[in-house]
Amino acid sequence: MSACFSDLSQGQSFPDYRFVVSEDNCRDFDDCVSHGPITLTRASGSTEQLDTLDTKHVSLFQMNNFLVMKAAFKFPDNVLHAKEQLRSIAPVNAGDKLRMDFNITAKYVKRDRKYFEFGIDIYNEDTGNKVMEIGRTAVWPC
Amino acid sequence: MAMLNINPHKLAVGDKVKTNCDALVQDKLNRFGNMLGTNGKIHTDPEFAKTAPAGDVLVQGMLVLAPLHSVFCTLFGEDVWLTHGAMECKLIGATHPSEAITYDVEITAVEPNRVTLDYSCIKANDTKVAVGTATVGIEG
Repeated sequence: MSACFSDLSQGQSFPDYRFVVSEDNCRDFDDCVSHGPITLTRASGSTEQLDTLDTKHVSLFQMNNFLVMKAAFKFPDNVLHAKEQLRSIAPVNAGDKLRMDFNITAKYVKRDRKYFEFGIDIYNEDTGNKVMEIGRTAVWPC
Repeated sequence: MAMLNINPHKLAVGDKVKTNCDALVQDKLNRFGNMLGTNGKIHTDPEFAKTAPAGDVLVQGMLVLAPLHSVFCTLFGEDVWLTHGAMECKLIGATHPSEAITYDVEITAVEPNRVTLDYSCIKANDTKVAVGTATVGIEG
């Protein structure tokens, strides 16, 4: 059964979630995410095309996933993703062993809409260091 | 230890950066969703989405925003972005798979150890679907 607003509490924490982003995952992610040329127009008016960097680490947006939340409870349909705060602390390589710590940092009703704020910290289990912090706000439908 | 150069392109206040993303096919939404856990029916099931308030499949907010990682790596360097980068994103509109997105970035502050920018993700009809700020900054 899907988790509704009354089923979850502020301060609630959930079991750690462990995952690895493989090189295949990275290739698949890159295949889904693409963009055109990057142009830089200086305040002075001149324009140049920048060479897109060939990245070697896992994308911030591949780290910023919903896997820990999906493991913690069943999502209702039509959850609206409202806001995200991301802080990257250290690069992650394909194959690194990662752990997500997940808790509910706030729960409130505003203008008749039900909101949750979630906090997610990601650690590299090989080094023990935190690699990313995520704050996520979602509007809950039930 | 070598000094970290957070501003290799010598960005200045008022500089603007732009890129774009073409319309997406459903298969990419499905694969992205399955990989990252954003595979709710509103993103992956066109028949269900027709009956939802949005009336059509919604592209995952993080899939809309994801090209910005590459933009910020290009602007600041991958190691700088991944060790000293932070961003806030507000998802303010719906993006459907048939809609291309333009990314507008404007540098709003440049200090010796910090660069701040605003960005917008905009559809062809000029509707903004996501806005936010990003910084790269070294403490101290």
